[in-house]
Amino acid sequence: MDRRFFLKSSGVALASLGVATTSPSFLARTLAQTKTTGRRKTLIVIFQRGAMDSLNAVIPYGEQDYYNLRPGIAVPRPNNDKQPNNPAALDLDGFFGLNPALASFKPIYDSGQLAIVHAVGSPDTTRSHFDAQDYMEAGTPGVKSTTDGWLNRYLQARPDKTASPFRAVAMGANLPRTLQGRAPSLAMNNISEFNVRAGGGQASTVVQGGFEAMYEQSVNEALRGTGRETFDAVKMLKRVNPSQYQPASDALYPRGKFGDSLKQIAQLIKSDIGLEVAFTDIGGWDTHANQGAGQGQLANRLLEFSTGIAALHADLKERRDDVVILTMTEFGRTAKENGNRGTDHGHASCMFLVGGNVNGGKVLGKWPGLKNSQLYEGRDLALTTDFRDVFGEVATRHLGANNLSAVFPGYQINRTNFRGIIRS
Amino acid sequence: MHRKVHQFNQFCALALAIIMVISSPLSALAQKSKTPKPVNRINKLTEQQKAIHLLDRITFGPRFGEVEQVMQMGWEKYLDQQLHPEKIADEIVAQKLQPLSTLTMSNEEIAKVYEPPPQVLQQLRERFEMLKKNEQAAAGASPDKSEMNAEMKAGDKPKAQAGDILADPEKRREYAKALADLGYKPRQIPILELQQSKVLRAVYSERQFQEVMTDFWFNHFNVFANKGVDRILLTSYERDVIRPNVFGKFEDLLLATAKSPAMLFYLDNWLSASPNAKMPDANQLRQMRQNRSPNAQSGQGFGGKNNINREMRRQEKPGQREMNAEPQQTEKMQPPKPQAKRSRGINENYAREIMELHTLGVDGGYSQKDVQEVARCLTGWTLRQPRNGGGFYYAPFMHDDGEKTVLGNKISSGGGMKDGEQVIKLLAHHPATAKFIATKLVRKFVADEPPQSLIDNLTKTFLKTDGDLREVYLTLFKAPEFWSAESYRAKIKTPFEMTVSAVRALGAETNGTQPFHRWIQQMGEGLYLAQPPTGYADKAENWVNTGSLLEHMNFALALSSNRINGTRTSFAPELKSAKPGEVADYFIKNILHGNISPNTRAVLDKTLSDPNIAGNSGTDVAKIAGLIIGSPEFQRQ
Repeated sequence: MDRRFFLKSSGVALASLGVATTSPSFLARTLAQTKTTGRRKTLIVIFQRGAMDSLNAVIPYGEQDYYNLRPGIAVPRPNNDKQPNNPAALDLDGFFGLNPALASFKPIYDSGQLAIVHAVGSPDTTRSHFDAQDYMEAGTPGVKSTTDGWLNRYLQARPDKTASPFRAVAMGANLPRTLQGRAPSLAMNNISEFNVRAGGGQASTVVQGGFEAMYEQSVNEALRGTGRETFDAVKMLKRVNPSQYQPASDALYPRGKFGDSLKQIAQLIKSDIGLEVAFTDIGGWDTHANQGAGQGQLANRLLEFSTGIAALHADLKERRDDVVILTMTEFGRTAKENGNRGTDHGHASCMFLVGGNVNGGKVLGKWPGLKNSQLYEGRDLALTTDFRDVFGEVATRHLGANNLSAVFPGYQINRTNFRGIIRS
Repeated sequence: MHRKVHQFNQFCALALAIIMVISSPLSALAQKSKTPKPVNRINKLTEQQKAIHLLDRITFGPRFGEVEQVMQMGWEKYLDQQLHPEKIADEIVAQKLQPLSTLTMSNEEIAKVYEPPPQVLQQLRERFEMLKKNEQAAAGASPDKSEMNAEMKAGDKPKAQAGDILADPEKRREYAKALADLGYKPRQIPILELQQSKVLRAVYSERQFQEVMTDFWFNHFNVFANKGVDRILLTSYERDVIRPNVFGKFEDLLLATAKSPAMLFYLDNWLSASPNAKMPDANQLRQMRQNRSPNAQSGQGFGGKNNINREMRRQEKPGQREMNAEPQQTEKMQPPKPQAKRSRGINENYAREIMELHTLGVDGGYSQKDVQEVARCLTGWTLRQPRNGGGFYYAPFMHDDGEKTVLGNKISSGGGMKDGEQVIKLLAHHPATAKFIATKLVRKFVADEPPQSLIDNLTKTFLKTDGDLREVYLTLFKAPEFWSAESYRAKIKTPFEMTVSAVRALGAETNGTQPFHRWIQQMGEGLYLAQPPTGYADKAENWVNTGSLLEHMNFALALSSNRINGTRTSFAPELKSAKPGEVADYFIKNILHGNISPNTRAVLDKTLSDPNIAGNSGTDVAKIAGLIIGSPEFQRQ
């Protein structure tokens, strides 16, 4: 056997093999196909992980029971200046008030572009963070076998072969449960670092091409599919360059990961990159001890949360009619404060919705009350709105979906249950 | 003919010098390309595959040349060694860890240096506020300049929150210096050293399986480094609670975590008290002082009457200074909060998680009532001054001593501390626990979708051996399901596994400091930084995604091109003069052990022939290594 000959001939064979196997799939798809032009409706989902204490965020100050249940952590009634170190709630409608740390929500609420749904959540009884987040993101309370998330199923239900790789984007290193599934979705830490970095322009392009070709060949489906999504996105991002869109002067994002994520979502929207669903999250809501009232641990979280959303709202001034911001948290917390001036895992919580077409300036939903007999299992805020009806209304009236039966399997989305969150 | 032979000899010399293999990788490749069967479709593992498989699963990836070593000694012997780490000498890693001084310190010792008491912080704060006032007064004398500055600053960024004297980075530096002058070192050092040690152990320890299991069980009993004072408690938690128990009985591991300051603090049980708890009277206090443990004496604990009172007052309203979810922001410089009415009560947090996450699993058949009852049993399992590094102690006056029923078992009244121990015994030996732990282990070591037959097998061993973990591991590694072709290379590496296995495969050197760790963090799984008690997820779908995958590729390139500070990769100089295709084959042979599909190898050629890789000044070996480490094949194990 002549080794040299062998080398040469196998080289030829490999070269032809390479062309044959690679051309049909990834070379054939060109970015020219992707539809990115123009404005489109976008939904921004913010998950407050850890279970926000809704009763201290949107305070039912009209209920004496609130004050009876929470002697150590209650937020005082509006215009109460008897406690100088304990700032009072900001009145919304004569019954509910905002935690003073949510002050930046007040002008948006007053302008009719922020609505609150109270006593909302998952009907499942679990008080496990893990399960409750799982159920809320999967959109199937009580069913653990669901493999994909409801946002992903929404994308699946409205298939779009020419969709941008940026149709669904999660800011962060990992794809959240709600975006996992068959429909392509992106996870990214930072848009300016979303590329192959091999030191130097041309070399990076070459190395990127090598990676792309290899991932296209992987026998592991997850790696192959994820690789493909990655490289499509990298190329498109380079072309569109969203980083050129700087925040509006009155959009003051809070420092840190949450503010950065929101800022980048705004950049993606402004660059018309085809973003339809954006996701980010903010942690630190599991306030079992010393949560404070209008100041303190919970208030600090609320401050970052609300100034971030208010900045995003300001930043998207020209596009507010296209965007709805929807917040969620896995469950609420006990109505009664615990022994450590904190609150334990509860049941219903509240959601905030912000946008030009949000039917705002209102606290929506039915208020169940805080009397002992009105509490869920005698301890938690009862549930009067199923979170799927909120998602359903936003998907239908804002994003324009017609059929949600596949998005929320086992649940009948009924328009009569819609709370009137989106102007029709 | 002569010339041909000469060239052939040259090729052989090169191959021998750098490839160190008997058969040419190209010939193997060509044979495979004739029969286009995917390489992973095999019915029985070869001896080489067995060695690769075992190293992939029970270590942080084969080192350069290690597959051959294991083949020589036989995988049974290697496994046996790894199951008895106490018999394996581990000098190199010991030397590398030696300079990290906090690793051998107790919680008390760490606290003394890295955790300034609140009074010190308060005094310092006051001093800085005075300084600021003085500065403002001085600035008032020349208003024109200061006003201009103020305006410019206001336009630059949002104004710092009122009262936050440390918003200015320069002030923060001064503050850090003032603390250093008082003898305190930066409080993030213990966790930085711990992160560094974890990387070093994973890369260099000979006791690989022990480190894999330490990682596994830490994640199972996860504690988040950034929950308040846990930042100084994790060193001892991993060293004294997790690592010594990973080959022991599950009950011992569970009990050790239950009594650990890190867990008691993380899941709030140290605060949980009977609603009827009464402060001890003077007699009880005296008795407590007499019964105090020797450890408490060395700390700032029960020293004299005043100290006792101070401690008890702190125990009364413990969360005020100790608790916070966001230490960096909130704890730094909070003024003391107004005194609130003393209140105490049950905290269910740990009681729920010990059943859901540590033992029975969420489907383990417990109810909300069980959660409440377990919480009652565990009242009084608390801590002495966690900020000072104080340890576990049982406080009878916090305990709910009534009768309880847990999972249908009556726990009689008056049991005191035994209530909690009874619960732990009950949970540790529960069939649901055996099944839950078995499932997690099979998922970790076999496949994301674990075969039921093997779960059942492990469950049996667990129950039969009283939760003897070494026996459970042995059942796992002797099982045909473990050695099946379906299991071979069926798992995708986590960010930590990927980065460390790359260093080992390349034979690179690292000091494990932050520039290296930051990559793991960028991929979404920073060490000791999983916030929820679930730890990091154990299924690949949670970490295989676009953002993370791109970071895997970029890490590969940064590592092979020596762009990570403190980490160094060196290649044999001969490689530079070899052809790109030969260099690629060399890495495929030695890093991927030939595990690459012919198609994948083929598509690489286009890249390899590019002038940027082939280069006039020699082959760009680093980029080729980066391509192999970042390839889909290297992400699998």
